Amino acid sequence: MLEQLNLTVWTWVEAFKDLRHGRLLLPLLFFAAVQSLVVLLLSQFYQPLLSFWMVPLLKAIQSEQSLHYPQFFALLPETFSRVNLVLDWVVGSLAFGAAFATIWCFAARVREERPWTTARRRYLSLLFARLPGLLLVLLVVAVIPALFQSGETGPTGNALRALRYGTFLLAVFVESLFVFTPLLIVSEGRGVLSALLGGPVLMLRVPLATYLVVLVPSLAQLPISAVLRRTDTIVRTLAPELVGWLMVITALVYVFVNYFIVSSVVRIYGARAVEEAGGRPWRA
Amino acid sequence: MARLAWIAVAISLLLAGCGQSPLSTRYHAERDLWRARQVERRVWNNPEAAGSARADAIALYETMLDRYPTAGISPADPELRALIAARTSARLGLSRLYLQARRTGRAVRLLTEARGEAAIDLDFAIRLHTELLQILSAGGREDTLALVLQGMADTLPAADPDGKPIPLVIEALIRRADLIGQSGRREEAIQALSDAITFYREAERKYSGTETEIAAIVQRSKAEIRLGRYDEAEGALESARSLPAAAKYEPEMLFSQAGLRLEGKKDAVGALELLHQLVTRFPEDALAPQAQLQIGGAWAALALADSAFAAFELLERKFPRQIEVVAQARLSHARTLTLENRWPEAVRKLRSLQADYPRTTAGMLAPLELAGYYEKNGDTAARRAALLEAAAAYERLAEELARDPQTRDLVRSALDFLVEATEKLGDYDRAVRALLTRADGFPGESRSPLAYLRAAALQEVELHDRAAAIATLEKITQRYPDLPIAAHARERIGFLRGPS
Repeated sequence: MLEQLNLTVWTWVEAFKDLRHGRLLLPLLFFAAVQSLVVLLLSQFYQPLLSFWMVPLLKAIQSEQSLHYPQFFALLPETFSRVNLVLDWVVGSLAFGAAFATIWCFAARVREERPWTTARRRYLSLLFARLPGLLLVLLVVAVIPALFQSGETGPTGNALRALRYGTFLLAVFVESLFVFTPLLIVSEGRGVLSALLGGPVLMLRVPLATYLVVLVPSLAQLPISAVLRRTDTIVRTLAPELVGWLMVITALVYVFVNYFIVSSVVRIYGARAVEEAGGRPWRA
Repeated sequence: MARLAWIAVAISLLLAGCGQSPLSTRYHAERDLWRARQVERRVWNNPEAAGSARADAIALYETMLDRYPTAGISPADPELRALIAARTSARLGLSRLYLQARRTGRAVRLLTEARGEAAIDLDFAIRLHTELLQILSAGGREDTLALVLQGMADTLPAADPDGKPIPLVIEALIRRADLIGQSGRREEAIQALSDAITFYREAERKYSGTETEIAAIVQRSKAEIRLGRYDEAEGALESARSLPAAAKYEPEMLFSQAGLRLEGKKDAVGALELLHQLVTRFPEDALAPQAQLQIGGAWAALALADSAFAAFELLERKFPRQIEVVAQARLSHARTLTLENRWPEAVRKLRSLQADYPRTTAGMLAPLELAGYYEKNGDTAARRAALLEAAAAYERLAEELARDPQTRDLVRSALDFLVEATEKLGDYDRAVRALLTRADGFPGESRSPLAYLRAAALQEVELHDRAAAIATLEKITQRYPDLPIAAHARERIGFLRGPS
């Protein structure tokens, strides 16, 4: 256990040191830019060029209320989280694949690889390999709380807090189970099934370290979620458009959250990966 | 990355130059409405220091209404309804600000002009008319109010889509007839009542089998009562009570029918039968205490004082928490005692009323009633003492309750009674102070301009203070410039100042 804690701290120190290399953030900045663009497009749903497809989309994933000002902004975090499910899968698979490849090439000093090219080539594999993890997280975050809803009211007070933090910790665990999967695809060139099986196996070799490197950066989600749950207050007392800006700021914060997760996972992989056919041994 | 940034810029420029559609017009209208409301909220949070915030809010509302007209949007487009909802909200906000700025005429014009547009949706129309009626009812615009009430009956349905009656529309024509009657135009009032009866018969036919039919019958019976056609009124109420949808309205109908028999047909026995039915079958109904009070009144009308006393005492035992009605019962008890020439008991009853229920209308009236009894008995000293005691009590009450917004009606009543008591005492200085306090404290109330006028008359005639009378009349011209009373005040000021 102490060894895993040491490993965890070491990965964070290395990640901090590598922050000065801005290009390591590029794939994640790309994803944040796409998310910000989507927020911009959503907030302009009423424009003639966008309305013919945005309005049915908003009605389908939200309600008629979301087509009015300022209710649109009060509901924006919920609306965006539903759109982001697909965005994370479709665009995030490419972006995270490129992020893993970029940081792996940097950490392993592999110069001949072109990370974006690798990610594009392995895009379909990344797409299908990330799907089970995303669906399980969705199950934890959306379906399990719904089971505790009785009629029109749900749990309140301490029960609500327990449910909220419980699902957060469980979702982090599910995420950490599959966190190595994209890395195995881009670094070892594994297939979907092999990566899906190999990721959890690798995680279970260093469970504490993997869980911590996913959990600790993800804690940033808690204050962000607390603020975004209070959009009614923000809309009423400040300005509705501020919610849009908060979404963009959240996307930027997640650039760093994801960077630390990816960077730490890459270093754990490098320190613990067993040499297998096609695998690249870690050179510290 | 750079490519992505250029894409975002291109999209932004494209969106900015997209032009307008009904959806974007409506959305922008809602956005501008929201901003105007935020500024308006600052006005209401600090009304005394509203100043420039009010001017800003008015400008924002006016700009919003000018910038997003409904012209050019197809009537079949669902966005039209949402845009009109936003425009109706803007007009209501703007009218509130105009009222605060004492631009009542503009508020009335704004809402009157908006009625056509708001007719697209019943909820909008009801909101608009409710606000308009509230402004017009504040006094001085009776003719406009009568026109609006007629317009409502002509253009709005008497029931909502669920078949429930809309009280504002159902009661409109009765209100109109009462308004015309109060202005002394008797023939016109009779015609108005006949028109109302026609309207209600049509509503009964159109909404047959629903609650609206019952509501229409009840209103028709009120019109018949006002025309003195008591048999027709009673027949209407009897037929209504037999309808299946009448269950909810039966206590109200029993009460109306009892009042009709008591006041109209002078049939106290018949009224008693119905009132007993109401109290026995519906003891928990809100009208039960009033019915019990009426039972006492009916016994008193039959000169059966002991039965009347028993009824009033029963009311006090059965409904001890209904303090206004209990106070009324005690006052009626005292009045019945005076009819029996049982003066000492009547005085004791009035004093107990004053002591036990000082903060009710009947309790406040008790000292004036006492003074009246002493006057009838020729006891000048006791009368004067009662009036002095009453005036002191009213001043104390007005002062104590002034800070509590829940008791504003009581404060107004206390000031009205104070004016009456001090005028009877010949203490005109105090009467003028009370009138000015009343008018200053209730600027939006319909009788406040009249209070200023009365104060000015006392200052001129009784106190011989022309300058003070002019200053009081100028308050009318400054605070109520649009009302007809302001023209009268200007004329009076000109007369008092004399030829220059």
